[in-house]
Amino acid sequence: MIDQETLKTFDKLYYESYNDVLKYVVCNCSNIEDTKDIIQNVYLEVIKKIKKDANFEITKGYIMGITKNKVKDYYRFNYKNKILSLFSNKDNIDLLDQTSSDFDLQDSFIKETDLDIVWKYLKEKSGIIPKIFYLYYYADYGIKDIAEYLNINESSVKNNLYRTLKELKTLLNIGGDENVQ
Amino acid sequence: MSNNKNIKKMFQKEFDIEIMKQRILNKERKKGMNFKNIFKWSVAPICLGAIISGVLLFNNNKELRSNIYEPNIEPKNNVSMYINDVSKMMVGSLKIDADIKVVDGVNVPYDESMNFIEKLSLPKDFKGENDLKKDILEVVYTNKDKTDNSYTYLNNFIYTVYSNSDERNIEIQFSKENKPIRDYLFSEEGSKLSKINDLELRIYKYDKVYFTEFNYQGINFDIETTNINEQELTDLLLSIIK
Repeated sequence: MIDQETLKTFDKLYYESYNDVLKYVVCNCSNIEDTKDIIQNVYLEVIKKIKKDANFEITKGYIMGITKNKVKDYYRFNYKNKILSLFSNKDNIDLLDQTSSDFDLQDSFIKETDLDIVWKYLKEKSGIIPKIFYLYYYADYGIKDIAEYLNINESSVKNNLYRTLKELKTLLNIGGDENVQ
Repeated sequence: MSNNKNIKKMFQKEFDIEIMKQRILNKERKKGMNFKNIFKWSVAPICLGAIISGVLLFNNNKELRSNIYEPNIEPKNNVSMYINDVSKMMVGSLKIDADIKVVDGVNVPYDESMNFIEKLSLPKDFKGENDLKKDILEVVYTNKDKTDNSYTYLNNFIYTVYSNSDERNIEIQFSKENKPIRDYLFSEEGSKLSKINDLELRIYKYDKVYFTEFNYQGINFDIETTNINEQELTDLLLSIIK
């Protein structure tokens, strides 16, 4: 059980650090589906530390350290599928550069009722795409910042966004390029 | 609403900070109980008999011991409830060793065993505007055997619904084929059966948590509630056991 004093300390640390932990895990996990498990493991470790040593000052930096370790630990176990990056070789990057860049990122075609389909689609894409979507749409990062954070080039960010949005448009039967696979 | 707002909403829903917090605290609470249970079982066997006998039902005057009681609920002919309060006893608990993987059930096709969900009687504060609920459906996978690391065998589903304040929740594990996996059990010895619409079941209480398990119409149920009162629990069970 968790006593009130521990819960109070946990609450403060949790709300202060959650967004940063979430961002790190989303952007460093192999599969976005693993995010919740990993975050759970992080904060269980935080609670363990609070209980073990009430005098130890847990900082956000300490929690980020736990987060990095938990991401590493999680993929030591074989039952998780490892998703290979789409950008594991240059040929793939060149192919994406051919995607038309006249697609309008501000085009509004995704409705609230489509969100389950969109989430399912993003989960099944290769590791980098959900990360780009997360940073662009949820964390409000610009293209340049995303490229820097994920250590990829800006054209890769743009092309992944354009390509995936085009595919979503087709999937949601709104139109778009029928040749996109 | 634009793509931006809708996709942002999607991520907010998937990684809701409050739902995530509840999941973490639930896991911690269960971990804490396991630790206490293991510690109790490490006590010398000679003490065990004495502890278990403390759970026995009646004294000579047929009064209920303080750890088993009838809840204060609206009387009904088809309901006979007894709560086995193990909060202070912490005995008769067994640990199951199982390797499991729990995933969100977004992609799981609808199964007829899920039909009860829409008919659940929930406390008022579990429903928001337009009767929307804060709920999650998850799937528990296990390995077929110890040599298999694929976690492809679907053991059971978990349906969890939270109050608007996230301080109360109801978790229902269910399966037609299998017994839902529980990481701790309570020994039946010394506990008293309840009866709801002719179905017998045992209800345990630990602090602010109620547990029960039963088979109804071929579906194995394992229910755990946090911070809900006995009338709400009764109404919930009646909405499943008709």
